[in-house]
Amino acid sequence: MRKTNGFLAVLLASSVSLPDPADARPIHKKVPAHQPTAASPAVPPKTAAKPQSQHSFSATGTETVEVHVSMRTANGVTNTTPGGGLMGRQTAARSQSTITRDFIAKQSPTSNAIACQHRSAWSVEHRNVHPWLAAG
Amino acid sequence: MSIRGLQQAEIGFLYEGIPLNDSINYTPYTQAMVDTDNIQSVTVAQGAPDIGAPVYNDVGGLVTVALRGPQDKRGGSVDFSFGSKSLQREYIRLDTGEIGHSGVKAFASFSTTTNNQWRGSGEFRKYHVDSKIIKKWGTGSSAGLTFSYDNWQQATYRPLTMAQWKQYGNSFNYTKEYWPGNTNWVGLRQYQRRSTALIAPVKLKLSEHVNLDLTPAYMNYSEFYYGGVTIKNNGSYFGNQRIADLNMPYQTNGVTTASSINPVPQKTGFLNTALTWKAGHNTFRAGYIYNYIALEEPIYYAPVNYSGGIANNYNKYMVTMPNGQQYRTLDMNFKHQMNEIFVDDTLKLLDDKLTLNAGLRYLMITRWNTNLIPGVTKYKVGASYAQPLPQVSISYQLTPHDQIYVDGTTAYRAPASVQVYGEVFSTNSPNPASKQASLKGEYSIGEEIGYRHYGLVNLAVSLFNYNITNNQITSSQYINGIPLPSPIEAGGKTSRGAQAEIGLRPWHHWSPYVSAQYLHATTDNNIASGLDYLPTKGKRAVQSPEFSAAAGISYDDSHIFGNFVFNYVSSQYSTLMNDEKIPGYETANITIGYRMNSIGFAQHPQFQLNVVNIGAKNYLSGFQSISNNAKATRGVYGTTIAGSSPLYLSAGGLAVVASLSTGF
Repeated sequence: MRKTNGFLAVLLASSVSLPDPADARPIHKKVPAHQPTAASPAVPPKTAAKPQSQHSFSATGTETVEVHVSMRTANGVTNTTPGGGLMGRQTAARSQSTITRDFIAKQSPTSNAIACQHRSAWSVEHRNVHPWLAAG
Repeated sequence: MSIRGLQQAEIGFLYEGIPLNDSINYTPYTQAMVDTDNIQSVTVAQGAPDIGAPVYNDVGGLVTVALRGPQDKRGGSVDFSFGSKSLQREYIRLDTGEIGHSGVKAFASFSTTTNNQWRGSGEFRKYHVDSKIIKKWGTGSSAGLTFSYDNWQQATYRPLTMAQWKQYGNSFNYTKEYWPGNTNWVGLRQYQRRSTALIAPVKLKLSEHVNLDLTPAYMNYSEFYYGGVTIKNNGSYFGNQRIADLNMPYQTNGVTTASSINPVPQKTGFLNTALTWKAGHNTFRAGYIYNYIALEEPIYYAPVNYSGGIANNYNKYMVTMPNGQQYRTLDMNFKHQMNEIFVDDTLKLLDDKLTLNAGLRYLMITRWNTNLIPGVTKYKVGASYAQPLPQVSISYQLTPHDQIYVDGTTAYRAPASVQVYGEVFSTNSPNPASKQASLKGEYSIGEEIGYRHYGLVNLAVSLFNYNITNNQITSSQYINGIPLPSPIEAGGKTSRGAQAEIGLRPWHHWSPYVSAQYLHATTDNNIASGLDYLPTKGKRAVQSPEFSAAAGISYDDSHIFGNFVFNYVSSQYSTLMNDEKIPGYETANITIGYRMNSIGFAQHPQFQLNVVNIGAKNYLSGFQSISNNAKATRGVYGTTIAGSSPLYLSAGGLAVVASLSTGF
């Protein structure tokens, strides 16, 4: 799991979350100290005390990122992305949106990436619409 | 799909650092590249694409598909799906986990899908393989090899005119039965695609501050478009040459029914390199991209016997001419070469709150084409395109949870479709059925301004404005029963609008989402038609719904999960003259599922039910072809310009898919 932690930290940094008592199930994961911008909820934010370590997440700057794995599933769903997986965290200086596994895994496995994007307002479908053949 | 009134062939698609669009007509065959089960995320940049994206068609934005790569733990998953229209799908994925302490891990997956087409009598089947092996070392270096193979076969859906839609609706299909002369038999209306991609993404951390990304790739996209024609035995044309006697079998009154076969075998070599150098508050990027495409594209014909037996689907037993040469109506050899360089600099100031970025991309594309059919206007057609593409952006972090940004971008798309370079003949005329026309590339200048808030409630709002020159609308033209892409030159276009989305981070297991877009897109000039011009200036652009919206709600308490998403799209014009349109439509989809605790070796087995288009409404969903004008129209100089009917794609019916899956 050593390497997973780094991966999770990057992945979950995408959901900047406030402590939420309603999340009863989450397994709160203490991220090892070598992950500079990640702090477990019990620990006060330490970022201010680390002047040289603020570039790890390039566009987010000095943020306190709470990492929690709220769910373990076999298909990659973590239930951390806002909007049911339709509104992944963005930091780029351009209009951009991300659909994550939280949404993709809940679509029919026969649908495709384009069909998933049709669930946003700006992507309009123009094909013979069928759940398993939207790209044809 | 379209984004902000720009068509899917104007949108770049990236997978593992390389474009997954068709190399020449730019259709994104996402499903042929990667199975949905293996997709980690899909990111859409609606307006301003990343400057380092190695695509040459991204005027309408960039879609990045991220692979769910090899997992750290050994295991895998299986999924069995069943559904309406005899859908059956099986999927299996195996992960090695990290092998010893070598830093090496890999996965491979296989899926097979079959179903009946949702309308008409055709079938669909698909086999797909995804795999990746990766070795990581140090603190940020890795070398990977991604392999994807797809074998796809389907009957095509019959497009319809507005009159046919009104009369027949979704029962206007290719026929199940064959009889001599019936070119609308579904057996003659097929599509096959075999895609193979080998991608080797390498990331090297050269020093604490310098990273080098290198991605060589080879893609082989082998497509076959099939159509139906009748060919006269005496007096058909090979280019401009009349053939006295083709000596064909299975004639009925001097005519043989044949399968027209249009293979499009694209071989693409690719190299994408980028160097990133971080120094203090500054990040500098420079890159070089090389791309070569080779395509030999013919159209030839296989006779069909009296009971519908097709001589061959590939290249054997074709119709031949008296001199023994194969009878063809297209015989092209197309080459494409692209060189691209980019530089990009990002500076962070004011405690990293302010981010300034500027970059320049320079695209150079050369294309050659030869056409061996006698009587072509030009045996050899070539073109070179060179375009500098600057970009700037500024972003400011108001608070850790609030960001504003503004950007100015430019984008370019090289002309789509080889029909720009080569002419196609029909069997019954000495003149080319499609005229070769050298087009300029499409170019856009765009600006965006936006605001985001992240927290329990998430909000993103942006305003956009584009000015497009040499707008090319992808349409299609049926020649010898095969739909061939044929671009319409629509001159200038202005596109403005606003989009907003709001979503809640899961709260008491619930997570709602709403998004909406307003779009005002217009054609800026009159369109040439014959010797006259159609008065299209100021008309609404085609395929540009003024309003679209989505609303969804999702629930997941780690056992019970589900979601509901509703979409609305307002009406869209199908002609540049705005004299025909598809009405607005609504769709809604539902997912319900139950995830169990792990039982023995089975990790979190789950059951999932997807219901698609729950209203079971039938509607026109898109466009097979776009027209200048559907009705006869008086031109600017007073002549009457005849109309032609656009062709539409339809949607409808309810689909239910049940899936059982488990990890192990």
